[in-house]
Amino acid sequence: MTIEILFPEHANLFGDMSNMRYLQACLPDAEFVRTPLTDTPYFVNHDVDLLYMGPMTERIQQQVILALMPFADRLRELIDGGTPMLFTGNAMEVLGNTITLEGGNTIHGLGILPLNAKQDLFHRFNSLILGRFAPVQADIVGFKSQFTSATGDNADCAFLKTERGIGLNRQTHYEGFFKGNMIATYLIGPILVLNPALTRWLLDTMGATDAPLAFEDAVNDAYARRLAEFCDPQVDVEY
Amino acid sequence: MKRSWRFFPALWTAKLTTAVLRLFHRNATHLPGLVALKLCPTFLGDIGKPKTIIAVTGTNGKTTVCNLLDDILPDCGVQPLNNRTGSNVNGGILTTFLNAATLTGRVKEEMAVIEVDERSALFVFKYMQPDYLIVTNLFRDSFKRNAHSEFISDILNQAIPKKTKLIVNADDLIGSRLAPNNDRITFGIAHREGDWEVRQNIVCDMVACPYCNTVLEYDFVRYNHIGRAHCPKCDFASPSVHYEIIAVDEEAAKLTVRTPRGEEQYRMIGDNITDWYNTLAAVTMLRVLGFDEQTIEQSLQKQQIVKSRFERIDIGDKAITMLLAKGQNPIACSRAFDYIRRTEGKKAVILLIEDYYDAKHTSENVAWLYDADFEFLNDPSVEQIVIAGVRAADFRVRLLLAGVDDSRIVCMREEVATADAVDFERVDNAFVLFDVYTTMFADATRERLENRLNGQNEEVSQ
Repeated sequence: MTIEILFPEHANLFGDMSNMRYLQACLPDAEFVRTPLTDTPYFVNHDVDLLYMGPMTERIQQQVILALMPFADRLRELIDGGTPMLFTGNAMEVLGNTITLEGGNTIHGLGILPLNAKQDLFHRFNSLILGRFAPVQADIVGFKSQFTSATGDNADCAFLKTERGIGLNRQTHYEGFFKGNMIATYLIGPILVLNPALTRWLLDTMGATDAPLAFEDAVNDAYARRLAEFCDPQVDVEY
Repeated sequence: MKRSWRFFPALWTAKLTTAVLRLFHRNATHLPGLVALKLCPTFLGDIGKPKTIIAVTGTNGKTTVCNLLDDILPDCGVQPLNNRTGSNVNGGILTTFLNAATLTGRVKEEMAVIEVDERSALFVFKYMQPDYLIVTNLFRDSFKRNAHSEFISDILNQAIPKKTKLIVNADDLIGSRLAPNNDRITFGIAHREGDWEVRQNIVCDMVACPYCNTVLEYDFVRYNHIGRAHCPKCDFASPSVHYEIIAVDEEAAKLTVRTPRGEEQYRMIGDNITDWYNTLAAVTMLRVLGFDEQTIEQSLQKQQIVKSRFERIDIGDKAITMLLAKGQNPIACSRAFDYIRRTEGKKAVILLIEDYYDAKHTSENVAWLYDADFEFLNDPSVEQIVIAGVRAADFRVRLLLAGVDDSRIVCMREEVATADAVDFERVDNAFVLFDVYTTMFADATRERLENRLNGQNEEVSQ
């Protein structure tokens, strides 16, 4: 089983690399390929069982787009072929059409997702998210912390329909994208650690149906407590 | 000096606000400054200032460096204006100058030492151009406020006035590159036995060359990105060091510092490497200001880390160690964890570092736990880890992922009850890690631990 982590020296903000550490605990025999920004991604010439990229700084995001642009068609092919992928935080924007920068300039993303993002570096948006992931009918809990909001047509292919917290922007409850087996989401942090049902789905989709969830009891206990908090209307969504 | 017509009404109204607040025994360390700002947006620019202004910023250590400067300068014959009792954001800094000013808006102090929150620099430095800016270090901090270190660097690069001379940490490849056209003096600690060749921390925000993206080669890593590095492809490298600790005599508690004037010796305050960086930052500043080695050293003999940040209480053959760890700051917590594992003896660790205010109003974003090196607590010398609060289940998961055996983890809801869970039969030292907003729990926990140990000692003596 091969898991490629794209550009981990840069795309590692907000504790997101914990998702890979958790998968490593679930799949101790899996091979993790860590591709630096200066190298050709492994997925270009090989099949992978999971492709992952975490959040990065706004400056690095532009370099990542340039680095991946020659391989956009290959990414599309893998998505259409059902390769599991996870893009978290502003890694999702890399796959989109455009990013409008703070100064007003617009840069182009890979054009894989119908997403247009806009930076606002003077206002950071922090929020809890509670939403439903349709394939397993599970409530997903997570956090957003970002400078951007986005518009995009994701009503038919959203990762989550939120019950608390916003979607791509304040006007929608549709959060992120779910296409083939690719998840792209603004959620940051240890989303696989926080959401045992999502991790179970991912492992099953990767073909690791026999792999147990690491620390399953503890993870389920923490999830149940968080879900109860997130469902409590007294708990503020924006933090 | 040409001032806004709003200045004097703002000054007098804000001073009246201070008087009223004090009459009602309220802290007047923040609000009066905000009143002044509301009435006169250029208030900080209009108010009188000392001849020399030293600003101190950075992710970790700025309060300690300011305290050292504030305590040593009087021994050098200078009584600095400072914001020690107030906050380091706009309101607190404005209030500091407001309180120091006469009714005519003049300030009598010749020098100011002002701690400045990194994000407040844009406003503060627009109106208060420091002659010197000490940058202790730049790291990831609270995700929700500070996003990432590049965001903070960009703010500081926009804010730092051209004439400001920087005092920067040469071992910090982020902070030392700020405002590249400004004059600067660097400080650092030479390679020591025990420094790593390969990073042991999860987080390093300086992995690749900022010019050619090639992965940097570290000559040594002290923690996170603190160390010395060079790019194998281009000429990017750590800067040269002007004030460098070249030897540490831990028994004699002496630091030998190579300076442009030769080798000098200073008292070592604290036994943590971050304490040495903070001491060196203060010494560098004082030497750059022209104060002599002997006066600084004599004053250092009197200094200690304030008890609100570090305190060890020995009772019989056991100890309680209080350690400020700053929740949501993964680097500060990792430093504390590393200190614990390096301390001799068997240990219990009480974690009181969940966010107090988030616990009241929302659900804390626990992502920062995964950037903090809880792996350091997976050490045979750490017998117990006791966690309290609403996030205890999350800390448990994090510790399990760090490899800590579940049998060593104790979770509970009530903070002070953690003291009862410490098994002093198994441990020599109980560390209490707390946040700046959980000191009340920490104090009560310490008291309960002290009572337990004193009770044990009484039983033994009877």
